[in-house]
Amino acid sequence: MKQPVTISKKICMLGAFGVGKTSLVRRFVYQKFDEKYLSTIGVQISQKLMPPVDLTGDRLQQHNFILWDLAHIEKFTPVIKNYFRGSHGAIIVFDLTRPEGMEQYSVFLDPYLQMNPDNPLVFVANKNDLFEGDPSTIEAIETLGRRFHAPHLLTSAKSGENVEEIFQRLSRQLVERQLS
Amino acid sequence: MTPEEQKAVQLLRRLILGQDDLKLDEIQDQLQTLRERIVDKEALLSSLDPVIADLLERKIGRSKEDMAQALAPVMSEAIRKQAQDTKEDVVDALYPVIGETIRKSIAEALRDLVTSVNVRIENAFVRKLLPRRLQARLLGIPYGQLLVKEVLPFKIDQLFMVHKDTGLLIGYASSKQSGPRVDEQLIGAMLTAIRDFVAEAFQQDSSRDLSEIQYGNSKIRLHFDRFFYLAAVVSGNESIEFSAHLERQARKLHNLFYIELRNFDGELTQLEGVETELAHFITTENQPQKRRNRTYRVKPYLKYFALGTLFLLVVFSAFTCGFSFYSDYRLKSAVQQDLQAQGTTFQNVGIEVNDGRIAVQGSVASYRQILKLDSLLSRYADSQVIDNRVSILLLPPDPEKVLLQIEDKIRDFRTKRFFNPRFVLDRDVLHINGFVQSLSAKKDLGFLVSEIQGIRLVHNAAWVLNETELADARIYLHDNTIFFAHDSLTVSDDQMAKIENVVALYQQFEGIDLKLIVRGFSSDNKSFYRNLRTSKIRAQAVAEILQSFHIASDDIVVVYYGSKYPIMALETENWGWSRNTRVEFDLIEGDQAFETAGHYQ
Repeated sequence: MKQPVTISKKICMLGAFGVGKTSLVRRFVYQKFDEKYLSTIGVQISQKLMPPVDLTGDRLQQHNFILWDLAHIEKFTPVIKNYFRGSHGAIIVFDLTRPEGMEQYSVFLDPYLQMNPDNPLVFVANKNDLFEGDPSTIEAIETLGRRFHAPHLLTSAKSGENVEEIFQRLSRQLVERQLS
Repeated sequence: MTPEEQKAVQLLRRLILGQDDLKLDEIQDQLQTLRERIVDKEALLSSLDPVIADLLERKIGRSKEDMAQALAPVMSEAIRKQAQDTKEDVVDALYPVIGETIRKSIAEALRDLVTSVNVRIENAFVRKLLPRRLQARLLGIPYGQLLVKEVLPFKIDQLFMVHKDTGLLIGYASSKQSGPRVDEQLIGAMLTAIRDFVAEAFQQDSSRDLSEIQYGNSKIRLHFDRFFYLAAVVSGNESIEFSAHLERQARKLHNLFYIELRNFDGELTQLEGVETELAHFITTENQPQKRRNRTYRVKPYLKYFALGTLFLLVVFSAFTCGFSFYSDYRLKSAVQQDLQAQGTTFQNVGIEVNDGRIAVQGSVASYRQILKLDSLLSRYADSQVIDNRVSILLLPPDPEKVLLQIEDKIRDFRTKRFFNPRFVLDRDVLHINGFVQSLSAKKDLGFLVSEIQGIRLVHNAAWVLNETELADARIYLHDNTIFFAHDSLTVSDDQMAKIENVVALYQQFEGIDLKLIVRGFSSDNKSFYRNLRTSKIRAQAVAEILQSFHIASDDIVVVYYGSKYPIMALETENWGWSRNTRVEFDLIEGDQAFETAGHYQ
């Protein structure tokens, strides 16, 4: 059987306070490091090995995501900008129950894209379990996805809805860019 | 019941229960007193204190372990809750105790250290003074430091190699052969985050990276390279040279994996050798410590052994020197023979061979000759070190000597049929004109003449012209010979097409210094001078037509021969005359054309 080649990728979790970034990571990773490595320097780091992907029929590739969950990102500081360096992709998380927060995405996304202009993104609208289905909110997240040519997903860290899918989408984008 | 009967019952009750009622009241009073004591904790504690203390003392005395086991969960929970609720109170309460304990602990550790150092110093003075001091000198460190190193041995526990920008782990090695693995990938990322945080929080510039993180008895030493950084988790007393070693290791990794690190995208398959290098570094750095921990005891027989070894070394050195001298001599002879085989080119070059190292100095005439000398010496480069200090010496050229040397050098080229370069020496600048048959021949020619002493600059303007092409052109021109009617001096209309052909062909060589030769001939039916004159007039007539086709007069060379070169030896009125009265065309190089231009040949 072919042994997959493991490629580590640094992924940044972006989003305002309380949107559920940490919950998503915890839901996705659920391993011992999520609490243990909580840091006072504004970043929590976790890792997750993705399932292998068959690239060309003769080569299996497996992504090892190193997730940088950045805290207090709404008060953007130069320290946070340093954390963006060398990133391979980003997940931008919004809270469906607080749609007004979506308008503030540029606070952290602009500096991120300034440092990593070609990186793949995934837009995530979290807390779908509490969402009452306001069409304008859905439209807002769809517009963002179109503007940045990135997929968008409605998720719930509580129920686990679409959580795996976020990282699968990101992994797929990274593979596509590698092959193109 | 009647009132009388009730009174009787009351009386009877008092008689029977009167004593008991009094006792009941007394008991109730006592119960009240007891209840009050229980409610009042202070009063209860003062009552129970002697009893419980006595009881606990007896119980603990009988089975200490049982008591500890029974009380542990309750006590732990109580202490944890208390500590959580009133942290500051706990700290205040424990500070004097813990502070004192820490002071005591440090004092004891220092006392042990001092005792240990003292013992070693004592031993050193008694038995090992000289070897230790010698060892310290050899290692280039203070004697005291050497002793401290032995007391607190230095060790690298873990070594991380982390990609500088992404924080991804490139390699990891540990001094432990087995045991639980730490999650090194996460540690690598966290170290990067800490470094980023420190750099920004304290406004450090990129040249002042975080170099050390201290924790407990260990510390993390960091060294930053262009693409990565090394993080060494070390314990014990670090040597002065460790930083340099870490830097050297980083440089080695940089050199070994430069391309892979530059293109690093998270894949480690191209960097598989990294962990071997890291493990080797840990082994090497941890080894010298062991060596230093060995005791040095100079045995008496070792002295004799050392003397014997010294004697053998002297003999061996003498033999080696003799052999080396002989090898140098042979090598020098071989090189000298090689240089002499090149004629006078390297007559001003001297050779020295010392310990197999060839050094040449002196002067040659050109850079080309220096290259040639390098090429000759490179035959010995596999085993010898070459030191070429030969310079180029430019002397004022002697034109005659230079031209002779040119002819000497290009003799082989001259044998080739289509090769006719010419040389003009202007002070120390040599101009090459004329024709060569190919571009490579032109280059070879330039290189050859540049070797000649005194020539500072070669202006190689030789024309590269294909021999076949030129030969075909000349045949074509010959096929377009203009014939004149008997006694006619003008070109007839039927011959004009030929002139147009000649013009078209000549224009194909535009940009090449070729002259168009127009040769006039006549039949032999008049006097010599008249024949000459008519051939001149015909040639000039053709030349004028050529000029009307925009061929410059400078590019046309008119020559006339009279009846000197007839095509038909036997002339008749109808045929021979018309064949010999003609104008022929030819091509010739520009410089030659000037030499041959004229009237009558």
